[in-house]
Amino acid sequence: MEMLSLLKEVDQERYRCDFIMAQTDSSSLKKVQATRPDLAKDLTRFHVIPRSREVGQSWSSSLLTTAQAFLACLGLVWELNPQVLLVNGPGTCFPVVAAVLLFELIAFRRVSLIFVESVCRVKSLSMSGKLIYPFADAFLVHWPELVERYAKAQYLGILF
Amino acid sequence: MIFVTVGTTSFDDLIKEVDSESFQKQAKELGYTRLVVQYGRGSHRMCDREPPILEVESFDLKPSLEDEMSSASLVVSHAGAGSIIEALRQNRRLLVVVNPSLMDNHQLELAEAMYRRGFCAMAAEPHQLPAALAEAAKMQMQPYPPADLRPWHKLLEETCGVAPTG
Repeated sequence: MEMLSLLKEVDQERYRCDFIMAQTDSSSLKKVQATRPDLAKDLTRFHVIPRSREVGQSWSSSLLTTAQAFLACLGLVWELNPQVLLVNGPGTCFPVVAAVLLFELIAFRRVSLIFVESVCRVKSLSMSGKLIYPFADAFLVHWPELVERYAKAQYLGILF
Repeated sequence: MIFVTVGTTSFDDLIKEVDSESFQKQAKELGYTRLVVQYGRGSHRMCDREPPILEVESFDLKPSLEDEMSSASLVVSHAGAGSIIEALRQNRRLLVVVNPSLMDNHQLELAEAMYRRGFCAMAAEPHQLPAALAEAAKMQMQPYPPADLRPWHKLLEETCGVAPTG
């Protein structure tokens, strides 16, 4: 809901949007189809990446699945060659962010990383927010209280 | 009509509270006659009172709660961001109930922030619902400001070099 609201008025002729979802996510695509059928028209814009880790998965196999997720993201990022990566928060975004950072290094490309914190975060950042904060080119929060605590954070008013 | 929603979560303590005689009697005294309860993934079911105090309807999940939201004179919602914002966008009188048994309670932060700004009434846990109900029925609610995406579009334009809208 939060991510889709940000795309509400974005002109699809000017901006090409590709969506990345976790393999086990069955509801996000349906949500896009229900609320933004115009965006969901072209299914080739929707890309699935493997989940890094399932709840309760052992450490040793997690290492392998995380590596697989990361490699899948690297391939996807290479193919899409994005200018901007917009991420929201849940752990799904970590391999994508890591892939984009590596991609910037090895392809000598600048990708703008925009992190949008969850609206539930009023006084402190989420785990994803804290981890991605040093790397983000823009870090958006939904409560002015956070701007006081985090110098890089921007509060752009009510966005949805 | 009072519409109670817990989204896709399970929040039996809230459902039990709105199922109680004391809650329903108080709601009736405040002028409410109907209660619609969306109980999500919870297992508690509303009981059939004879005689009924309020007219009660309930269901678990629906793809969209727009109909219930738009016809409610009071929405009692769990503290999930989606439910809160949906109720506020429909300009509903809102009472947010926090689930204290959730770990890492960001719900409490969000509910408090919304409450402090006057957008809704708040109960920090289901047992505080009756007291909060009286407040919710009477309080002057601040209207939730409309979304303005222009600062966001400006950021996109600065980042990409192209304006996102025509």
